[in-house]
Parts: sequence; structure tokens; C-alpha cells
Amino acid sequence: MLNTAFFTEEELLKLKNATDPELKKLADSLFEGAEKALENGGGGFITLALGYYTTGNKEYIELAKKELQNQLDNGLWISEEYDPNKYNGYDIRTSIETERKVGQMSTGLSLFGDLLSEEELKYYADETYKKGILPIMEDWVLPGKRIHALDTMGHNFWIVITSAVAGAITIMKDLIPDGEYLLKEAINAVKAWFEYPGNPMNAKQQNSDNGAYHEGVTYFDYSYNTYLTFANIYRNITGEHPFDDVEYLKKGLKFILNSWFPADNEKKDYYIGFGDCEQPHCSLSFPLSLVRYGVDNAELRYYLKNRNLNKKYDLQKALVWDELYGKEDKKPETKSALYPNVGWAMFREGYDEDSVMLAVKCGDTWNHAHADACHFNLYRNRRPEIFDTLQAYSYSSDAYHKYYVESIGHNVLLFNDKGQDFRDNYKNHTHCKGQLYNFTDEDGLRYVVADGTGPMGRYFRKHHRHFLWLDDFILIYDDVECYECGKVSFLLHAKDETTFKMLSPAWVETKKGYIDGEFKEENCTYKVYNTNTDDEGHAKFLAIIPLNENVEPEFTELTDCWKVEYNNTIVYVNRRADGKIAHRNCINVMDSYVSDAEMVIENNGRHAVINGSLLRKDDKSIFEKLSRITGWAE
Amino acid sequence: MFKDVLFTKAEVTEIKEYDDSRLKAYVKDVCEKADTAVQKGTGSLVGYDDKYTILSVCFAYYLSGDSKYSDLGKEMLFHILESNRWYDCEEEPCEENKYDIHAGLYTGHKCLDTSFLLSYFGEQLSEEEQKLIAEKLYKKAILPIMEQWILPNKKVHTLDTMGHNFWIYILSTAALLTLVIKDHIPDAEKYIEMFNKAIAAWYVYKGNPLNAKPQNIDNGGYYESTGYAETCSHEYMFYAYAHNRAFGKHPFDDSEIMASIGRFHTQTFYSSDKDDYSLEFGDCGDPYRDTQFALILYGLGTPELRWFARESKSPTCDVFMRMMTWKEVYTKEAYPPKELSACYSKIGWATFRDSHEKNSTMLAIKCGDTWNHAHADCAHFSLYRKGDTEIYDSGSPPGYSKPSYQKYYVTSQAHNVLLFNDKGQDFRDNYKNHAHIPGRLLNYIDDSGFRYVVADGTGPMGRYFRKHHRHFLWLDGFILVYDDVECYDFGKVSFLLHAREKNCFKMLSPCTETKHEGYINKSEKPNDIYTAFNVHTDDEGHAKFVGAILLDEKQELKYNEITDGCKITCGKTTVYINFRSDGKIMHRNCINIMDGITTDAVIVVNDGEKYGIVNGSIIRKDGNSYLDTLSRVTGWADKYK
Repeated sequence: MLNTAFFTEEELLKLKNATDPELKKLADSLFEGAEKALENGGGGFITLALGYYTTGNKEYIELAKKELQNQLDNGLWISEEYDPNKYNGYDIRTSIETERKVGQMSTGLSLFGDLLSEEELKYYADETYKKGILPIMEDWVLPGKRIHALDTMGHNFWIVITSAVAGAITIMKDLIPDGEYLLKEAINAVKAWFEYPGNPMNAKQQNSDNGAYHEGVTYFDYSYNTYLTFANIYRNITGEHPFDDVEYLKKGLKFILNSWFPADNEKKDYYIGFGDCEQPHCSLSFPLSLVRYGVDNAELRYYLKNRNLNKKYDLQKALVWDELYGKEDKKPETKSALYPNVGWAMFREGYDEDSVMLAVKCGDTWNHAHADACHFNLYRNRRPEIFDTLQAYSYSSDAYHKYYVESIGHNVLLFNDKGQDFRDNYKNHTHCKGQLYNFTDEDGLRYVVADGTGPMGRYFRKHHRHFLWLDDFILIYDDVECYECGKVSFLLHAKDETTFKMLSPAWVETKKGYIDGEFKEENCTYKVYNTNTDDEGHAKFLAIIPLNENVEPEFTELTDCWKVEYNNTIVYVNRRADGKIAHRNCINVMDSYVSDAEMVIENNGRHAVINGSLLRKDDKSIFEKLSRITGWAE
Repeated sequence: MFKDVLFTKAEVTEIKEYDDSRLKAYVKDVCEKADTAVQKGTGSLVGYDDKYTILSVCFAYYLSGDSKYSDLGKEMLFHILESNRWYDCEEEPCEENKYDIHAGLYTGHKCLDTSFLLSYFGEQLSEEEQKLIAEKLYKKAILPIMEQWILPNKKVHTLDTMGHNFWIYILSTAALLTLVIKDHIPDAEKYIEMFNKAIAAWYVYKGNPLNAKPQNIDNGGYYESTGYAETCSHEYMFYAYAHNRAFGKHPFDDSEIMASIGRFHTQTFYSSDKDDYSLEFGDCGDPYRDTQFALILYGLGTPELRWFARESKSPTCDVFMRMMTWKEVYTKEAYPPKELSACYSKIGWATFRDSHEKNSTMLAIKCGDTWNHAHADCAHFSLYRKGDTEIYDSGSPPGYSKPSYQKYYVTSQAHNVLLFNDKGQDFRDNYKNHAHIPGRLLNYIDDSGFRYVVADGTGPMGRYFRKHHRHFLWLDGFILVYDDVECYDFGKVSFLLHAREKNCFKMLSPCTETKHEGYINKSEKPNDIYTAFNVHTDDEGHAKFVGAILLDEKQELKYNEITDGCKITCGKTTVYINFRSDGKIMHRNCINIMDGITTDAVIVVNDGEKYGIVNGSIIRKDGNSYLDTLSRVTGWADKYK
């Protein structure tokens, strides 16, 4: 091997001589794959290398040479979208296509480079440099040449392309001109992606919000795994990390574990499906890469051991076998998380397969992040019960642009049948993104409010959606003020057997939509609950998701108040707190309670308020503050 | 009664005997004011803002010992006590309206006035009279204020709804009165502690996004206006000064907050030969500020505040405070602030100036909250030049109940902002409950002649604009104002300009011009003409304006359209604006080539020696790279080498 970018011969020997029955089975299957490559007359470089370094059969070298030449001669090295006459000559020349080529060639040269003649090695290295490495470096990285900026192309493309080229340069550093310099610059570009804080002038989000990524789980996995492929190459060759990346990776892992919903008996996974997200996953790719990189923990091992991992990760799994199975694991314990900059929040009962999870999204809209301000999903009974329609299998389809990415593909509000502007997604972000406020998970009070005013600012002066989870029910309260009078609609994409119930008065319609990637024929229905604004433009919805199928909620209208009773809990929704009152406080008397809060909760003798400063009952003070808070009053 | 709440006889004597003709003139002015009050009797009281009349009478009494002043003081006291209006609403609280606002500004005025009168003339009353008066004030003013604003199980208000100027004014005046009559009311020291906590809570209040309520003090800045910023510190400082005299300590750890408020007033002050000016955003009221004197009296004087005190020349309302602080102001070191610019990003105010000297040039920008006394003025600006307001804010109204207030003064039309199809921010933003997404100021910089900020008015104008960026760039001899707007619909976009007839603003980009009637100088009838520059959006909803303020009249401004951009030259400086950076381009960079300069920036500057950039990552020319950063920056390019 030219270098040990992917594995060492000792590691392969260890697999060859594995005694652990499970590992031996896995290794044998890998070596069988290599044998089949001989029979088939070709295969991937990794497979060919497995064969060669465990058998010494030189036929593998010939197949590797053939594949190197094939990579050079066939397929695209530049973006298929590239048009040199567009964008002032600064169109996207090197893209995902180039990244793949560079990755393939460098992998082949790493594994077979020292088995080639000097001329052959020079030839392949020169061609890779000329056709891939240098153009990528020029377009994305090099001062004086660079076209892109993190503020415009700093999404998944940046990290995927710069990581791939950094990996290739690490492998081929001594074979190409200015290898040291190029590697240093490429690492800087990779690092800058993780550190990027966002740019409000371009409505561009930071790339790591405490580990979360605004384009969703699938594109997180793509981005982080590509980085880890490079980082593993770098570490395997130099023994070091490209930069101080451990905290970013640990936080990224936490984000994935927080987004994970253990599902059906086949151990397929669901992840929070916001944005363009594939579901269900057999497994993500970056967790094994992370173990291989030496950044793992007991929770990650629990996750990996309890999944049926895709066969394509067999080698990775075999290489980290001792790490994975030789150390203890632990079920994750975090039951809620908030990522305020990307606008994701999640609450769950636990990580058991019968647990319930609620996920809320109110953040950016752009590219793979959809027009979904105030959207929510509920995962229950091992599957998504109130769901995201995810992504179309064709990004160029009408269904994708007119439905999957649009507000109507999500559990959000519309005004007169209109949602967020199409330009938010398609073009350049919603300029005032959604926000999540007052996140609380304390002693059974789970709460967050989604502020979708910015994304729906064309129609709504105010758009607050409160999510309140207490014991065995979840309340969803929408408090909206529209510029004009009109119809406000609450969309619900849910399984037929959902326990969701609209409590406040509304008329219901059923409409057709898409799901499961389908983009030709409408293949699902969704519910639309409608109400009209009052004459000042205010509209409200109050809905419940009972989690105990044996208990029915009771809903009562009081003066300026909605009251919901469920099991041992009463929730009062103070409708005077909707902003109608200026220069006064919005104190309401609800049964025997006096409060200025948006919601008052009585739960098994305890009390809580949502955005309130006082709570009194029967002339006794339960809670008093100079400014408003959210939480248990006591 | 707690005597000598602001000054003692010994301090008055010291002022009297100090040998300086200017101070003697101030003393004379104060005494004349007291004498005028004696002539008018209680008719000299108007019911609000009577503090300096009363303090003049108190001072004149200590100065002269003449009983005509003490007689008037007592007369004033009984007059205030006997007048029927103690509540802000028409009725006293009853079960039906107990959550209405009862103890409010009027109650606060009474607290303030009676505090001074009792402190200086209380001892001339009998013990019984003092007791009865204290009981009445406790029952009619202090207790209702406590019950409405702070007492647990009684309070009606919260910082999130009534936490604006009302809160701090009312609680500070009530605290002052409690302090003065503390020996005559039960639990006074406990109440003082409660007031102190509630006052401190006001100053540190961080805002509440759910109620669209901004933070109260943003590094000293206050969102309702400079006038209301004064309301929010002046009476508190009277109280705090008295508290310090009574207990030897401040009501809370307030020194840094008060100092920052002093800096805010200094940075928003414009020194002129003609008049005093304070930044006029919102309901600013008269431009005469006393806070600098109150801070100095409180012991927080700095050279900058003393400079401000010396520069603010108008004697109309601050002669008493000027007299009280004269010695410190004129005997200690004084100099203007070193900082020529300031940005208060949470309230959305920025100022730039070429110096703090008289009649210099100051640019002020507002893009923040709208509510109550903060107007519907996102991305608004004013220019102070040659001692005057050349591009102006229409200012404060003649009265908040006057039709012109709601109809004009608070609206977008009264400000130098953009409209869409003649429409500005929604009326509910001001009248009711804020623009739910306030405007923002981004990328503020003042570095070696590169002064820049961009006002993002997208939130407040979100009903019409997907994006609303207004860039202000002040270079050598001129200021560029560049609007980059994307509208949801096609239509007319108008750039409003309220300016003196002779002004140095030039609209450079093509547009039509119309004239409209407005109001100014507190007029109830239209008495002003303002200009609207109008363009129509392109077929994607984009609209742009390029305007310039030519400060150096010897220079000539040239404007040329170039491919996907424009070029402005003035003296040695050339500015290129890249119209490709307006958001039309997605998934590519917006690189433009302008006069051979390759860049992705919104704006590129060449001052003849070096390049500057606004939100860009690349500047290249003739094979040379002048800026190459992985993400966009703003400022002189050589700072990023």
C-alpha cells in the first residue's frame, strides 16, 4: 500500500484470522466479496485491496489498474450543470461529480499506488491532479482563484467537496505539486465550514448549531461522513486530527441521537424527518466512521449495536469490532433538546421502542430545509404518526417544488390557502427565519413555542404556536394575528388512526398529497382544519394529542378562555393574552384563577404558567414575578 | 420627614458664596423663577414637570430664608394634596375596573412634587399635620402604586406589558416619596427595598420575544427616544441621590448602567451654535437634556459628561441642575468622547459623526422597535450638518391625542424610509403591540474613514418586502445610501426624504420624483413638503435606490450605470455597487466584474490607495488579489490580509 489511509495489512490479517464467530462471519463475507470481484472482472478499490492483501493474487492489481483507467476515462469530472458562458464565467465547474472522481482515484492510488510502475503512478496522479484536485482547489479554496464563499455555497456541497479533495491530497501529497501547501489550504477550508457562524445579510445559517445542521439529518450524515472519511484518512496516515474537531463531532453525534427514533422490529431507524430526509434508514453512515475515528462513547455503541447496519458498512464494522463489542454501551438518556439557531426541538419519553417523541421545527427555509415554519411531527407506536412528507425521489419533479418543500407538505398554518413564499425555499432563504422560545423540560412540564412570524410575515403580524406536553397529552395552541381578515388553516398530515383532535371550533376538509418519495401520482390525504379570523385579524386553534387512548379530553369555553381537562390536569388558555390589549396587562379570571399568563396549568395539585407573571386563586397568591416566566409556579 | 433631599443649607451657602459671575447668573435665574412662582402662587403649577419650579422655590428659601418662599411651598403642598386627580384613569379602582391603570403618571407627578415640598417645608408643619399628610400620601399615592405595580397578590402590571417609561418613572417617584416620609408610614424601609428591587429589575430587563418587548437598556440606549430615556433615568437619579444621602449607599449596583446611559445621551447629542439637538427618533420631546447634570450630581461625572454639560447651552429647563453642578462642570477636566460613532444594536440606533465639535456632521440611523413612543421608522435616517437638522425626523407631535399624531407623526410617512405602493409599516405596530420582528442593524464598522452599517428593515416591512436592506456607507466627503429591496409583489417602491430645501442629498439612480404634504414642528396642520423618489420593481420584485449625501461641496459626484451594477466617483474615491448580489443568484456566487475588478461583494470601494468591501470575500484586479477570505467580510481589505 502506498499508505495506510484506509487500513493496514495487519488489520486485514487480523480479520483473516478472526476467531470471534460473528466477526469471522463478517470477515468471510467481505473476503467472499473480493473473490467475486475476480469472477466478475472488477469491483471497488477497497474490495480489490481486500482480495489482494489477503491472497497476494496479482490479478487484483490488474483489475485495480483497469478501474483507475475507467475512472479517468468514463463519467463526469466536471459538474453536468457547468456552462462556462453563464454567471460571468463563474458557473459551478467542480461539484459533487468531481468530488467523487477525486475520491475514487485517490482511494485506488492509496491502495495500489506502490504496486504500479513509476510511470503509471505518475500518470494517474498527474491526471487526478489536473482533472480534479487543482480545479476543486481553484474553485473552492485557493486565494486568488476561489469562486465560492461560505455565505453562498457553504452548505453540504462545501464540506463534501473540500473534504474529498483534502483526503485526496493527504493520500497523494508527495505525488502532486505543492502538496503540503494545498493540504494546509484544504484543511483551512474544511475547518472554516464547521466554524462558520452564519451571515444575516445573506440569511445564511451557522453550520453547526451545537451539532445540529439546518439541512436535516440526511444531509448532516452526508456532510459529516464525508468529512470523517477524510479525517480518518488523515489520522491513519499522520496519527493526528486535521484540526481540533472532536467537540464538533461529539455534538454532531448528540444531535443524531436526539433525532433518532428506534422503530420497527427490523430495526430500521426513523430520524426526525425535517427537510429532504430519507426514511426509514437502515442506518446512517457517519456513526461507524466516528467509531473508526476514535470519537465514540457508550451511547454511540448502544445505537450501533441495536441497529441492523447496512451491508455496505461491513468493512467499517469489522474494523471497529473490538471497539464496538469490547466496551460497554448505554442507552441514551437525553429526553429533550433545543437547537435554537436551526430551530429544532425534540421531546421524548425515552429510547424504548414504544416511546413517544415530539419534534418541532421553526427555523430556516432554503435548499434542503423546507418551508415548514411551526411544523411538528409525532413518533409513536414505532412509526411516525403525525408525519413529515419528507422528500420526493426527484428534486426536479413538480411534486417536489409544488408540494414536498412547500408549506402544504407540512403540519403548519396557511392564510387563505397560502403558506410561505416559494422563493424562501427555491431561492434565497426566508429572510426572517422562524424562532423557538421558552423551551422547558422540567419535572413533567415540556414546552416550547414556535414563532413563525418571520417566515409567514407576508400574512401574519404574529404567528405563535405553543406546544405543551404534560403527562399523557400534548396541547397545540395557535395564536395568530393576520394583517387582513380571512381564513386560517391548520394542516395535519397523519395516519388515519392518529389520536389528534381539534378542540376549538373549525370546519374540516380532506385534501390529496404525496408521501414516500412518490412524485407522479398523489398517494396520500391530509386534513385541513379551517377557521375565520375575527374582525381584528386574530385566529386561534387549540388541539390535543391524547397519549392515553382510554381517556377523552373535555373542552369548555369560558369568558375569553378555553379550558381543557384531561385526566388529573386542567389547562386554561387565556385568550386575552393574544396582544389585543396594549398598555394594560391581559389579566383574566378563569374559574377561580386570576392570571396574565397565556396558559395556566393545574396538574395534580401543582401549578404552572406559560409566559405569565402572576397566578392567584381564591385571593391567594400562588406565584408572583415582576416579569413573565414559563415553568412551574411553585 | 427626611430633610434636604437634594441640597442642604450649607451647600446652598457654598453656591451663594462661590465667586464666579456665571454661577451667580444661574443663581439669579433660579431665584427669579422662584419669584415668578411667588407672584403666580399655585397657578405656577401645571400638574406635570413642575419639579424645577418647586426646587427653585426650595432653593430660594434656603438661600434667603424669606418666608414668602416657604409660604408658597406649603401652599403648593396643600394645593397638590387637595386636588382630586390621583389616578390616571377617570375613576378610582372598583371591582369592575381593578385591572385598569390607576396609579400611573399622575400619581408619580404628585409623589415627586410632594417629596420636594415635604423635604424642604415639612418641618414647618405641626407633627399632627405631617402625620396626616403622610398618611394621605401613603393611602392615595404610595400604596396604590405599590399595589398596582409591585405588591405580590395585588400587582396588576408586569415588565413585559407596562415595563416602559411608566414603570421606572412611577416607581422612582414613589420610592422618593416613601424615603421622604419614611418616619411616618409603616414598613417604609421594607417598601424601599421592594422599590429598589423593582427598579433594578427595570434596568436589567432583557426583553421578552413572546411579547415583542425589547430590552430596556441597551448599553445605555433606550428604545422609546432620547426624551423618554431622560424620563427613565432623571427621576430615578433624584431618588438614588436622596437614597445615597439617607443610607450612604445606592439603591442597587447602578453605577455602570448609569454611566452607560450618560454615554448614550452624549453620543446622541449634537452640538450646534444654533440650538441644542438630541437625536429625534420617536417622541423625543424637547431636545434639552438634564441627565448629564443629574449624573454629575449623583457623583458619576466624567470628563465626557462635563463636556456635554458645558456644550448643552440652553438654559430653558436645566438652569437649576446647571447651578447645582456648576462647580464640578467648570472646575474639573472636560473633553468630548473619543468615539465618533456608536451602535446600539438591540434598540437599532447608530450614529456616526466627523467630530464632536460644534456644527460638525452627524448621521443617525434607526432600525429597531416600533411601539408606543418608538415610531414606525425602520431603516430611517437623519443628518445633522452645519448646526442644523438637514435631513430630519418629523419629530414629536403637538399632543398624543391629536389626530395628526396617529395619522402622521408616528407613521412611516413621517420618516425617511421606504414605502411599497404608498404603504409603510402597519398601524398596529405602533399603536398596539410592536412590530413583532424588529428591524436590525448589521455589520456596523467605523475604521479609519470607513463608516458603515446596514439597516435590515425586513421584519417591520415583512408584509411587503421579502428583503429590505439599506446600506449606509460614509467615505471621504460623502455618504452613500443604497437600498436593496425584494418585494413579494410587483409595484411602486418609494424612498421618502424629509429635508431642508437646501440639502446635500442627491438621488443618483433613475427614478421619478413626487412631492407630498407633511407635518413638522408640532404642527396640527400640514406645514411641510417632503419628497418621494419612486421606482417600479423589476419582474422579480426587486427594486434599488442609490442616493448620496455630498458633504464636501467642492467635490463632484458622478454616477454611471455599468453591467449589473453602478459606479460612483467622488474625488479620489470610487465606489462600485454589485447589483448581482441582490439575492437573485442561488447556488452560485454573485461574482461581478466592474471596471476590471472581480468581486462578489455588495459594494467595493477604492479610495485611490486601497480597497474596501461590504459583505464580500473577493477583490481581484489585473491578476492581483486584494482580498480573499472564505466567508464574507466588511471593511478595508488590507485588514483581512
